[in-house]
Amino acid sequence: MTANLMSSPKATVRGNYVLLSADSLHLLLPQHEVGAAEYLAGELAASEEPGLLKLRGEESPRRFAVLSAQMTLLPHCPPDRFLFAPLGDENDDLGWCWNELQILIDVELQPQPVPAVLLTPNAPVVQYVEFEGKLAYLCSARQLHTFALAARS
Amino acid sequence: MNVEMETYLNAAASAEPAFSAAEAAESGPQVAARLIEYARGRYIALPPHTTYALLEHPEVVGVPGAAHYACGLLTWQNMRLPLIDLHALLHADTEPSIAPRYALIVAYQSAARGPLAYGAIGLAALPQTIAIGDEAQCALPGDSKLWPLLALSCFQHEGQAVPILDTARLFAAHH
Repeated sequence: MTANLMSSPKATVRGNYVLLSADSLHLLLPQHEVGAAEYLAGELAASEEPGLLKLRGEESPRRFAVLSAQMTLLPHCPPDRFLFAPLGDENDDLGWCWNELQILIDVELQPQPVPAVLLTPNAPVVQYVEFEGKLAYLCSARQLHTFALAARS
Repeated sequence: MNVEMETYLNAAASAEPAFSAAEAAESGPQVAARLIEYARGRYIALPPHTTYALLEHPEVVGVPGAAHYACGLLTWQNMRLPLIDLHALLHADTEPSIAPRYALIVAYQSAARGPLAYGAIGLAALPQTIAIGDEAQCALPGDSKLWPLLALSCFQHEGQAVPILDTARLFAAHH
């Protein structure tokens, strides 16, 4: 018997999720935590708020967050991040930018624990799933906010 | 998928090194150990039965917010295994290697009679198999506070103290 087989029997969860992709980072959030997606209307540039971006040449208060594969904020927006969506609190005017956003209705997932040796007490992800050949981390909007925005100075 | 070189180590463990009767009589009984260069000029050893396979150019998926010594998760035989950088683990000021040339797959049990689990150690060079005897036993080196937590024992090899690590202590928990 082997402890870390991907196909070994595991507990399943079922529900509506959104698969959010930022290059090699794939996150699965509960659908109710992801707001309506929109296309980015233009190029992003640095804002006066550390780590956050804004639409170049616009006075809109909307700010944007662009994630690296390590779930930290990038200081620029790669050209293939063309979608954004707010996460969590509807009053939050922060748009999170993605390459791809896929809504999964009534999907059954088999979460697997991230091996304990890799985890830290503040790890934003503790479970992953195998989904359509990708490794995607289960995450909540709050965990994502807390981790990604914590490093801002 | 790791379609690169995959070498199984257990068969080799029984074949090498060759101990002659004369050597055994001269220096006492000897056992085999895997000698692993985890950083340039720095070595640990593992019991051969815990070393399972060697992958060349493993493909690794990063884990957000992972421990400072984590390389990520690699896929091996329908499993996702933690891949760690021992140098970064033992010396916290060292950055982990993102893409080590080799991944040494090791087995461990978190509990007696529990299922086998696997982890992987990133390496730049191939492991060697050597023979060691009781007379080579020595104190642990003092260059990492983790040695007493991870090591089963230690021996002298070519003038250097080489800790023998317990793979369960290494992979069962965060350090």
